[in-house]
Amino acid sequence: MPPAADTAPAPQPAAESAPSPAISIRDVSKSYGTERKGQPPVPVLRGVSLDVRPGEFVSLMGSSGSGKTTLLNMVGGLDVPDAGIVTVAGQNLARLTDKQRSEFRLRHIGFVFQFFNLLPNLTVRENIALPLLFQSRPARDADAAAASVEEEVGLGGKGARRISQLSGGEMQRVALARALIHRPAVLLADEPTGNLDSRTGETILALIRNLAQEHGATVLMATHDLAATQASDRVVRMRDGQVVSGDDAEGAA
Amino acid sequence: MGRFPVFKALIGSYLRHERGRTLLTILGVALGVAVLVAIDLANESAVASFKRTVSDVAGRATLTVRGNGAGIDPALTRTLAKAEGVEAVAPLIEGTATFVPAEGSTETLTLLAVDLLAPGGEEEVRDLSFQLAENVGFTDLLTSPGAMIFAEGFLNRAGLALGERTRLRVLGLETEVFVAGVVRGSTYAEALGGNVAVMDLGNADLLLRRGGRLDRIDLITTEGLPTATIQDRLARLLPPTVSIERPEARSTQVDNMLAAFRFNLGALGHISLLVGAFLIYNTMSIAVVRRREVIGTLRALGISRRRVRWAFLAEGLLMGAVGGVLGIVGGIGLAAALLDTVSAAISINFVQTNAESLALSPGKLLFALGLGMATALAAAWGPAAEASATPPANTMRRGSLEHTLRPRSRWRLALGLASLLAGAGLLFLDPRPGLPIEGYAASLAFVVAFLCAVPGLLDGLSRAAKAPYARLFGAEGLLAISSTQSSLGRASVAIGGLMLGLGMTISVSVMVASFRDTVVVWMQQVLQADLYVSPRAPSAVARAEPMDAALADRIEALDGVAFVDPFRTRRMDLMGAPAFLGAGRLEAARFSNEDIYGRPMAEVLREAKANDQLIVSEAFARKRGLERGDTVAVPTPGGLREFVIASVYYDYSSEQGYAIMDRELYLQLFDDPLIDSVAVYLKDGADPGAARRAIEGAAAELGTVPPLRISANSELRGYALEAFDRTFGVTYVLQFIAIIVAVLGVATTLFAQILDRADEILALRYVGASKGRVAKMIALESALLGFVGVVLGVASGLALSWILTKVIMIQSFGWTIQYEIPWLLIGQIALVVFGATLAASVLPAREAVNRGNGRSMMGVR
Repeated sequence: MPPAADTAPAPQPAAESAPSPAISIRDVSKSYGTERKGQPPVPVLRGVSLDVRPGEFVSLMGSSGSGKTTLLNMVGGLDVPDAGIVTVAGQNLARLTDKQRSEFRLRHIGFVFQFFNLLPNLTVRENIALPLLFQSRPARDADAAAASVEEEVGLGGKGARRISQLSGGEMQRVALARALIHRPAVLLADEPTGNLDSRTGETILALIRNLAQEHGATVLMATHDLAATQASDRVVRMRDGQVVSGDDAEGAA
Repeated sequence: MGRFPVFKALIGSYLRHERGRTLLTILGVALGVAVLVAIDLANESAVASFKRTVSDVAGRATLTVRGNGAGIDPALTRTLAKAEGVEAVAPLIEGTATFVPAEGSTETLTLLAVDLLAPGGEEEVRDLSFQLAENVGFTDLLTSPGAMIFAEGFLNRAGLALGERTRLRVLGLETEVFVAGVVRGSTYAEALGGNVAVMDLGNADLLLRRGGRLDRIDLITTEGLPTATIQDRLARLLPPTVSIERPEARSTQVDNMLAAFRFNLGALGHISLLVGAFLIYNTMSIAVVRRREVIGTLRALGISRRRVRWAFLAEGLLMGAVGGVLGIVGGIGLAAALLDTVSAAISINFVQTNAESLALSPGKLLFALGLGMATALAAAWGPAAEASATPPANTMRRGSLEHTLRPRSRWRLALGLASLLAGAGLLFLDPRPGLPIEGYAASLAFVVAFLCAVPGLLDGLSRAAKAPYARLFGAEGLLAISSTQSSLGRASVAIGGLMLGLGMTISVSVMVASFRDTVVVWMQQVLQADLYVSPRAPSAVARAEPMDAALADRIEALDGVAFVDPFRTRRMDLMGAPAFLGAGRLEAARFSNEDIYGRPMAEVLREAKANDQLIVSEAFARKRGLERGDTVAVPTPGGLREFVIASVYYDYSSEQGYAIMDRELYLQLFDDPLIDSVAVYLKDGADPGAARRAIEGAAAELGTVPPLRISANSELRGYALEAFDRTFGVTYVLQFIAIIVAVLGVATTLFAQILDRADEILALRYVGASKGRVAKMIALESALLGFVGVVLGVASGLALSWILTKVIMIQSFGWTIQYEIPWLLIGQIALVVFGATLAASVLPAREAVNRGNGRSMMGVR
């Protein structure tokens, strides 16, 4: 039975001996399109299985169209598989309603995007505080928490600035702060350095790694930049909707 | 790609795929054009019918001599016939008759009494060739009082045959007539709807009771000689009560008389088109936002800004053309539906017209089409500029482009202030009767000032609302404000449209409510009698025929009746413009406790009676620039007589105005045994029901009275208010359309915002905002726009209503109206519009939450 609609599903307790994976993907397949217009569905994921341990930093490498973004969407509960099971922080996402998946994201998942996707008319602090505000936390608490994360990402004193007043690297710091403010179990990042110069990209990756460790977050990052994968514990390669290497969590790192 | 590759890439296929948006754009133009065409066409058709009648009735006459209510001495016919430059003269008496035999008949006939003894002039002037019935000789026409020649159309409708006898009622008297002949194929007769009966002048005098005087003499002047010269020369031969004019002068006079009425309706039509323009702006904005990536691609490929702009302008023009054509078709349909209402309004208030078909003028329809296209083009200008002004790099990148509008620009501030000052300045000008140009110019200036204030106000308000909104509604409130602030331009346009639509609705509602209240109070003051007796009008658009004054004497002699006030109204030209001369017993004022300009009405009217003075209505005085103590020249059979104005009084029954004299004076001046109504004052304690029955009995005994309408005081007020509400019915339709278009404007704005901020909304979904929360955010944004729009709409509506009531009504009709604000009604309208804007967020909200489905922030779909 799915949990009550307006309460966030809590992660299930870890098993006694080996800790349960933070992300468990089992035989997941997904196709897009229908046969209605005489076109066969296009398979995007074909029987993907992958486990990510708690606290682990995993890079998903693959060319465009390899299925890594679709996989991130599955883990983020933004899409549901046609077949297979996705479990995040012990929760089978397929069992949740759309509203429950939103609530789950709000509490247990953080996102970082290539184009930052900040809200231009909110200040830095308001952007960062957004997840807490969505959790209906008092504005004062959200503000204080945002101020604290601002310091962590190196944006101390810039909370009142508008997004348009920031550089690309600073924008990505804001995005990272927003993704981590609610202490998510899982941080999903899609090409987080794709829109930054290499030096800023390195700084951001280091920040993601350090902060994820400090916050105890598991990181799953999609990238096609080999250099970016150096920050991660493990690299999983994908091609044509399948994992071709690195899916063995035990053998990695 | 064919000849227009940019247009095809940017516009062509999208029009089909974005069906909803395309339809909405077309609707924006079509609704505006339809309202414009409908109003213009219904008006034009009603007036054209009158003018056609005037022109056909004038026939080949080049000059017309008029008796102006006082009549013309027939001897003048001979004088004119002998005058130099006059080729033919055709004297005429014109009256109306009701066809009696048909049960509940509304058939009224125009009775034309012409000089059959001197047919030469008649044949030359009018086309009235007729064929006599068998066994009827020409002399019968001259010697038999009941001999009439009917138009063929009427005979067919009435089922009458040549030679048959039938009954007509003329001036209250039923009379037997017979069909002596038939007029066939006469444009003259057709002009009067075929309802024409012709008789000899000699017989008509008795029937139409003109006291041996003529109504009109039509003349044909010598070809080749300047008509104006002849007119001047003949004018010197005429007594002062008689005027000479070209036949078309009557049409010009009617044009002048109707100018304000038509101007007001036309203004409403143009506002509808303006509100439509706001909708078009929004839908075009959506198009630009949707196609931003394509624009970026084309720009990156080297397509110039100019070509991008022209492609969108071409789309606007195309939408304008399609919407314009549909609007014309819809407008013609709407005009056909409105024709009866407008015809009735003009007939009752101005001149008799009976338009049965629409007078379609290709020029006017083309003009409406052009106006629709120009509006669409102007509305597309902003979005087209937005599309072209952004460099390719930006357009290729996702995210909003709406950063261009500065909420506090100097030029907007300057324009707003200048408009405000200009509007206020125009209001300081004295309201002059005539076209309400200053009033509307002031309204337009205030509208511009309000529109200039929108971005600044919206910016300030949304900033001020940020903290309370966030406190009240959490993250959704904060985001709603953020979204509004990031799209001030588009939001300002939506609010502008809403403000305009609501402002127009409120201003007209306040004006109508104030007017209605004023009329109610006025009726309490002027309607003091217990019962009102008048002949039933044969139809809604026809005036009732008068009745014999003997009825008033009979009623006064009845038990229970304290006093009667027989009232006679005559249309006549008074001091250069048509008006009504009224005659009643001024001592009836003794039943009134009202004051007139600070003095007891009874006292003022007693003095007026004692000194042979007139009282004139406000409209009469304003139109002629007269006031108390001035004189009014009244044409009478005995010559032009001047009377001093004892007082000016409020009256809302005619915009042409009344000059009223005491009945005794009137009877001395005019040999007129007729009256139009009788006000009956009962003795204290008398039973109105019994009095009503007694009056009916007296009328039946008299036998010469048309079917009567006897109304109690309250009933008469009820009829008057019903007529009032009917007259303003048209404006409610227009207001409804304006509101719908304005609310659609808000919906399309939200759509545009959502499309523009698709990535931001998606990001919120990633962060964990549920669909419900996104929908709530959209609803809160809609509420903010709705609130600001409603506040500004109410404010502008109140400002415009004041101008409408205090300036435009006086300029148009010469009526002083007590300004009253119906707060409850305004509250209701504001609530409904606010509710509608909230409801308008439902579809955009659905679009917003569904955009997350199957779409990704992350490059791959």
